[in-house]
Amino acid sequence: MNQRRKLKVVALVCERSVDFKDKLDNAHYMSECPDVNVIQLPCSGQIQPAMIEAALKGGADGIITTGCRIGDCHYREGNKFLRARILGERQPKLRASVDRKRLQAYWLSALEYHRFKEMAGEFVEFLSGYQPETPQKPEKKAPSKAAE
Amino acid sequence: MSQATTNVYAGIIAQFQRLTLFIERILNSTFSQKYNPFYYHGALPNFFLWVLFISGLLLFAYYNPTLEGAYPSLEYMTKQIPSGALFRALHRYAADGMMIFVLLHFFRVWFTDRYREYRILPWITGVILITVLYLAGLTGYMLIWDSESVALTYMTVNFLNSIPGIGSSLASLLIGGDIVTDYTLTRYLFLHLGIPASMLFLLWWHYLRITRPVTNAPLVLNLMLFGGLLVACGLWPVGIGEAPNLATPSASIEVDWLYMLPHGMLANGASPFLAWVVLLGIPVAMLLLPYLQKKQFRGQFAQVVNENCTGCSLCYHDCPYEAIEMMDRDDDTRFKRIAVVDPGRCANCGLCVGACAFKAIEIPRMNTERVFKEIQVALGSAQS
Amino acid sequence: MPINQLIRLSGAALISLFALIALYQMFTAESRTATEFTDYFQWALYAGLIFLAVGAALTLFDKDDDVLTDYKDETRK
Repeated sequence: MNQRRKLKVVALVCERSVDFKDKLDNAHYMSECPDVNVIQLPCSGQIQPAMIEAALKGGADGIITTGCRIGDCHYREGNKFLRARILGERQPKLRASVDRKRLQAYWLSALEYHRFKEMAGEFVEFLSGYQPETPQKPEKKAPSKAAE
Repeated sequence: MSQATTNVYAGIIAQFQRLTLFIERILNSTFSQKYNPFYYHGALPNFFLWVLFISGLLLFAYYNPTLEGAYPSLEYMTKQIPSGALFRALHRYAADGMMIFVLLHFFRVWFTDRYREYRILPWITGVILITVLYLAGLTGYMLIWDSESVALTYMTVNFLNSIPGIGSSLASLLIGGDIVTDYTLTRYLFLHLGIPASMLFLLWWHYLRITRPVTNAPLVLNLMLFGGLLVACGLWPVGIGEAPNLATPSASIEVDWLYMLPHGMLANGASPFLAWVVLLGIPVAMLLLPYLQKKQFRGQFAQVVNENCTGCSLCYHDCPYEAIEMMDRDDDTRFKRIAVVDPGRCANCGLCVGACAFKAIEIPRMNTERVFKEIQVALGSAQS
Repeated sequence: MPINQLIRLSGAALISLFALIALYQMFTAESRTATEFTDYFQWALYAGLIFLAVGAALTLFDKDDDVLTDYKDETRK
């Protein structure tokens, strides 16, 4: 593997979906994918769009949100609500100015850690070569996105 | 309940949960998550309920609830009315299908730990619904009033009589008197219509604490269920047994184990006492299951930060368990309404937190401040 | 997704057809001294198989295997 800068990818994960038992180090980094820091929450429905905005503002290269399979949320609808919020279909919406290329969501059950690892790996690969079109000034894109 | 037993039980349930997830993964690979039947486990029995109501309506139109008239009316339905036999078959197999999918619903809810604390009301009404469904199905088999139904009636009467003290009065309640008369058939018809009617009320109760219950499965699944039902009818047509003779009922009954569990046991030589223990033990055990595990978040529930709440009611709309109510407020703020949490209904799931744009609601087990802090820590330590 | 629409429509058409046949049977039941029409089990078997096939086809073509939501492809609004 060639030397590249270590990325800062934050994964906000529902504690009932992907099972990270024995997969994280003490600082919550995935031992098999050290660019990804995992923060576990009771449900993906708890994730506020503000959390995603704050993380990107704080310098995160990418954000992964993970909930249970669509159709199967322990609290009935948390994962659907989160997806709708990021897609801008449900209040409170994620700001239109947020760079959507830095966001991914995985919907996986507790048995599907390996798929998480694979997809997170690909996402990290993508992010390591990713250059935003208008770095540091995402506001410029805002009107066009909002108009869509 | 000792700590050790509770832990063993929780461990077993956790294993069953993994099994459920494993089955779901297989189903996801064939049906995809859009049509995974396990994701509509609660809605699937409703489809059978509708089939039962509609097919039952047609049978009801021709049924004659008298001692002399019942069997001829069944014979007429089966042999004279075009597709009458098919509707009888549909009615029977839909009843079996309903019980099968209700049990699937029951086991999935149990194994995935979705049955206790804030879900206790659906659980208790669910156990009542299963019992009621069982009684509805059993009375349906008695209503046919062929030779086997008479045997089933005698068996049930003896079974009830085996209870010391109140047994004989229960038996006469069932058959509408001390002996089988015209009233017996009227009573059966009343039970078979009244019990399912009560299910509508119970279902409303079952859904009461769920904000957006999934009551209908997608068209595709209903289509396949109906297809399966028709194939069952085609493969195993339902006919009619011998004419009833009160003096010499059929020597044996064809046991439908879904609706004749104690009868099947009795027919296989079990004592009435054992059959009663099983019949009553199953629902009692179901009712006790939620209390085998310790409460997860004793005394915890979502907390509204009053000074931040704007009364926008987003959390109220998003709460999946109707645990949030919007109340009038008359303090010094310019807002007219405020969210108030009902502690008994709160699941501590945090969906309200995700719905709040004003940091006005928090769940104690994972404060938003802690999430923001963890994000900062993750980003800060990555710089080094 | 026109293929899905097509399958959906044919599913709905099948159900309506069945409903119409059932209605017709209901209204003509008394007026007929049916002998050959008493038993529809064979017919039910074929209809059931068709229903199952349509359902299976629908699940085959109308899949949602999206375990990944890549928001850059899905900015719907």
